[in-house]
Amino acid sequence: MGTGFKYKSNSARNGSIAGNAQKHEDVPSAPKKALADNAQELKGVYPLSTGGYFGKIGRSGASNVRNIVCDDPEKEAKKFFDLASSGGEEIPMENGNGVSKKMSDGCYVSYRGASSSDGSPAIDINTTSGRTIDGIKSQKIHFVKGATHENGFTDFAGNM
Amino acid sequence: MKTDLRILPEICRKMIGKTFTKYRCDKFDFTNSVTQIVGLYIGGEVYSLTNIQDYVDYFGCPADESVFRLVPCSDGDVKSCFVGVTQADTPVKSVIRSVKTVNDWQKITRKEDGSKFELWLTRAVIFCLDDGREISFEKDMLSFSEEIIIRRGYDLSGLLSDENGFVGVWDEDTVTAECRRKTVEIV
Repeated sequence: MGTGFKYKSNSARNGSIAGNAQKHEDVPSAPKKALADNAQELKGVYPLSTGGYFGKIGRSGASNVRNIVCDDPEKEAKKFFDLASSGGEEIPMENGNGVSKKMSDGCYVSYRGASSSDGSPAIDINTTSGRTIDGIKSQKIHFVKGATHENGFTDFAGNM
Repeated sequence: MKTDLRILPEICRKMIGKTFTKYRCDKFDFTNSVTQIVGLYIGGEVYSLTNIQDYVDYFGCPADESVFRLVPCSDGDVKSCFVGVTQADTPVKSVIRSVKTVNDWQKITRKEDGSKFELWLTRAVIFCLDDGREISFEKDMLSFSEEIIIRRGYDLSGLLSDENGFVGVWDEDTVTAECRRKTVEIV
C-alpha cells in the first residue's frame, strides 16, 4: 500500500522531502490511476457524506473543510493519502511544504504534515474545475485528536 | 472582524503604459490553470503573482487558505513550485492600457451567536492591452486551492467564476453567507 516516499512529519518539517525531490527528477512517471479508481476503496474505509465530504464539518462552518477525528492523526493521514493518491504522480513541493500527487484525471491530492493553523496533518483533495469525482468533492481534511459533538462540530484536543 | 487580502491598486498603477513583455508559468496540463505562481514581465520589471496557502484568520477561525499576492521580485524568484518542472514563457508584447482588479467582499454571520466576519480578497487581475486584448489571472474559487486560472481573449470579466459559489460552501444551518463583487479599473 505504501507509496515509498517519506512524509514530512510535525517534528521534521523540512527534513524528509529532499530525497523524494531527487527521485522525482531522476524518474519522472506519468500518473497511472485516476481518483475515481481509488474512490471505492477510500469510501470503504472513510465513509463519504451524501454531500460528497469525508469526516465531520469543522468549527469554521465551511462544508469543504473537514475533520477526521482519530487516535493517531499522522498515521491516519498517511493512510488516507496512500489510499486516495495510489497510482498518482508524485510531485514534491519546491518549498518543502508537503507532497502533491497528480492523478490521471487531473485531480490533485496533497499532503501537508503540519498545517500552520493548528499543526494537524492535512490533506487537500482538488478535483479541479468544481468536478465531483465518484461522489467526492474538493475538500480539505484535517486529521485531529479530539472529540466530535452531537452537532457535528469538532473540538481539538488542545481546546478541550 | 474584518480581514483584507486584496491586492493594492498602487502596484498595478505602476504598470499602466508599460509594455507587458511576457508571462512565465508552468505549462498547462488538464486545465488552463497553473499552481502557485506566475511571473509577469512588465516594463523591464518582474512581478510574481502567487496564490499560496498561508495562515489567515478565516472568518474567525485560524486556517490555511490560499492568498493572492502581486509583488515585485527578481527573475530568479519565478520558478515552479514543483521540483524538476521547467516553466514556459508566453509572449504578450503589448502596452498595458488599464488593469482591472476584481475584488470579492464576503461575509458570514454565525447563527449561534450572531457574530459577523468580513473578508475582502482579490478574485482576479485583468490586464487590458492597447490592441484590445485582455489577459486575466484568476484565483481559484476553492479557498484553499493554489491554482491560478489564466485566460486570454476579450471581455474576460464575464468568464470569471460566479462569486455566489462562495455562498454554497457554507453550512446553512449554522451560517449565513453573502458575497458581492466589485471591479476597480486602474487607468
